[in-house]
Amino acid sequence: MANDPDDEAAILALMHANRIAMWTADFDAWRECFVHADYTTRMGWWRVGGVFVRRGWEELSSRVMRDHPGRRDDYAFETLIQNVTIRIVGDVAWAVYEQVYPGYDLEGHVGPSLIHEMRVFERHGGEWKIALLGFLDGNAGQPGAAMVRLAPDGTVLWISPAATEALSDNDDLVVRGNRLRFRNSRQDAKFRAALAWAASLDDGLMSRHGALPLVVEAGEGLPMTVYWVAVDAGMIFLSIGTGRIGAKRLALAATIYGLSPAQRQVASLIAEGLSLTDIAERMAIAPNTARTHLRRIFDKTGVHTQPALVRILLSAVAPY
Amino acid sequence: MGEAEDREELIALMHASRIAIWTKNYPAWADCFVHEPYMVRWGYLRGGGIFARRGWEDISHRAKSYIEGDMPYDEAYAYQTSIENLILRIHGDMAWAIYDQQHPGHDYPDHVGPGLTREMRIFERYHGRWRIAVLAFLSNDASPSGTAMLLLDSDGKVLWTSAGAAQRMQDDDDLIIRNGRLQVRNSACNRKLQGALRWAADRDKAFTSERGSVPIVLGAGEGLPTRVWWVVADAGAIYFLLDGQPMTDKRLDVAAAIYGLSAGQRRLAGFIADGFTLPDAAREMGISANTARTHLQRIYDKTGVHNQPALVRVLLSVGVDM
Repeated sequence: MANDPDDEAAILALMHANRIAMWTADFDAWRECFVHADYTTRMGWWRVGGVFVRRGWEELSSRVMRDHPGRRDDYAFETLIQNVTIRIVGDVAWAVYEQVYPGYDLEGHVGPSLIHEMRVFERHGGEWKIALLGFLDGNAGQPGAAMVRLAPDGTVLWISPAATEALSDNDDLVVRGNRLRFRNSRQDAKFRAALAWAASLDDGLMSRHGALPLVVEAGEGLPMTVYWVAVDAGMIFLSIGTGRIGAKRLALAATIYGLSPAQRQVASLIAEGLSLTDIAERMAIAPNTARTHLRRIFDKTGVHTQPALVRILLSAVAPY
Repeated sequence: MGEAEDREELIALMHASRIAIWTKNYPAWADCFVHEPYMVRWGYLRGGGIFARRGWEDISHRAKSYIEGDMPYDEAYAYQTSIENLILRIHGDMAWAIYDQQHPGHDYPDHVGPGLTREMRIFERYHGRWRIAVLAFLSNDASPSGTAMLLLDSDGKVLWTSAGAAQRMQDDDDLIIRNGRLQVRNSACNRKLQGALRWAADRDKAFTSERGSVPIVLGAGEGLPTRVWWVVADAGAIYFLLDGQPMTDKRLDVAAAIYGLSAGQRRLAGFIADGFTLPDAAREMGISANTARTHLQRIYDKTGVHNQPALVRVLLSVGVDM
């Protein structure tokens, strides 16, 4: 049975109105979009914060004012709604759709800006209102992540600013006719195989994510580059290694073990493989001072060899 | 049909779809759903990520091979799972529900956790019977197998213990459970733990959800390794993680695969990452010091680094940047 076109238009307008109210920080308009009842629900998942299920209008509305990220007219007015399913029966309706934001680049939000949305609507006093708002936001990579979203044939669908920069002086990869390839034909064959693997990974009932490394050896004495073909949220990405994870882990380790800024610098140079003499030179300090720093670092971390130090520095990541 | 009968039939349907899946009964499962292109399966699983599948054709195809294939048969999950905090709204021929499903403690490979899933359904009356049009769930369970974790309340009361944690707690000299509450024997460290629990209880107060973790470090004294535990706040729950060992091993395995290390080279790399000297590592492995030196040289050749600290960095830095 086809939906009543007036109801369908009203519901579509409400989907937009709710987002516009949010991103123009118009809280009165935002409140108007919802059923104000103990069953009003907001649920979903996003990478930064994880799972959430908020129940009841009171709890939901009391939270909204506090940490608004600020007005964004482009998110409010330039966001697309696509692949919409709407079902209306009497005074209740539901919708599942996707929202594509223009260049999603808030802190901690890197990705192709596609968000899966779900709504349940109820008609109260002749007006459609949102009773349940759900979304799944798989974007939010590490800020500065160099990621390219690809179609299974290697067509570039989206590219992060860091990846644009990384590709501009990258000798391994080339984009030709909007398709990403490795210059080296053996590497490219591996890359094609990884894309085929990626395209078929998520074919079960339960979702599956995963990543395959592609190693490019640069020859004697040069560091190798590791690329990852990753599948997540039904999308395929190529991640270009930028070495940022190491920096992040080192910063966390310095906090855990209470290292001073100078100790942290010594620790990070040891992790890079420099000798104490080289470290002293790099930091413009006496070799004895560098040695003292290292001894203090050993005291604080409880390890006694440099390899063990690097291990605990790099293991400093929440394992969950 | 009155509202009470509808309610009863809908709750029975919530249970029926779960029972069908855990008893590997595909026809009974299929019978719970609306067979239309607009049918939806939607949500998040920690082990697999988000999913938003549309249409009975695609979903039923995936479900049939899963239920008749890999899906474990588990009567406890089928029959001893409870439905809690139910909100059920019925409007004529459409209804929707929000509830929690509490499964009896999860401990499958790669599914370690307290077994709570957040569920959402939209039902339609279809050929005279209630069926599911939208099935959505959010599940936070699923960590590497063997993860040693506890679920705590904000007072440190232990609400759930993973099999890995139960085993490790038995001969742990640093941790103790007193009156059902987790404590660290070292009193300074215990204050840190209690502070971290208060921090965790205070997360997730904002409009958007928030998760995070705080390390608790115990300096075990001269010559003994430092212990690091984690207090994790996630989705309104507080977890205590005993250590990150499985994660580090996993990273070493990935690194071994990337750099093409042999089994012997992988073992030696593990010992070096653990802080063993080359002669000590050779002794542990029952090989000569010369053989160990040869292994190490090969590892250097393969990874392109030339000293042990740099090697450990290279090995543990592998990971995908997203």
